[in-house]
Amino acid sequence: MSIYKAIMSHLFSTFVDGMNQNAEELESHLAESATWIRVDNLSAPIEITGATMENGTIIPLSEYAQDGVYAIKFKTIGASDSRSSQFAIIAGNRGSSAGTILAAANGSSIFTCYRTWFQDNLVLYNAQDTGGTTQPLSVMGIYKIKD
Amino acid sequence: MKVAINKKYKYITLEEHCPEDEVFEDWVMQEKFETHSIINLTEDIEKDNLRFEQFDYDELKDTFTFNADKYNAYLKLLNKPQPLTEEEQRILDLELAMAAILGGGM
Repeated sequence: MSIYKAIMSHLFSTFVDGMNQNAEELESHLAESATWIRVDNLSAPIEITGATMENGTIIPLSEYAQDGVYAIKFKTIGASDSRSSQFAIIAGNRGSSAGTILAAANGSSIFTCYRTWFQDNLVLYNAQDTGGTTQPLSVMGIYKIKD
Repeated sequence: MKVAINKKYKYITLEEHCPEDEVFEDWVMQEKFETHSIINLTEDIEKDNLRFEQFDYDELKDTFTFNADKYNAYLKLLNKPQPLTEEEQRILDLELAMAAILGGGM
């Protein structure tokens, strides 16, 4: 990767060209390091409707990285439109006890869902919309975006 | 209709979830999925309304069986009218109030 470093004697046009070059290099580097690998071991969508902290829905994972970034694909149960699936992006953050996922359901309502980790698997529970109503949701897959 | 049961993670897999170029029984029984077993059901059961909880587990025989009563109870629950949400009730009240105003003015 070739990085431009500005110095005071450079012309403004040289500086702009250098910055643009850096942007292109960075874009290319990020594209190369990004992944889209399915890491769950589900053979079908798994329902998280009504899952509680005490009885959460466990999503088995084939691999997990503490510093990884993952995409969770949700689908509203009962929605006839196949486009109703939504993605939520989460960080590995295994060290934290729990975290909140924010996503949209059906393109109209926002829901929150809690998550934690159990024996290298992801656990999801308490999927509710902003009014506190339980959301009928399934998880269709987990994808690793970045190591 | 064939349904695969995952006892460990508590979910079911239908034939429609199997990739087109795979044989359902072989694909779903792969070690990575940890599937318990496959059950045959009659075609009159609506697959979209099947849930893991509708299958009873017999510990002694280590087998699952479909519980039609639980399935029917779930269908009944789905068809039960839901109470209005706060927002729906508010709109209904507004509509009734508007109707009363219009009715009174005539």
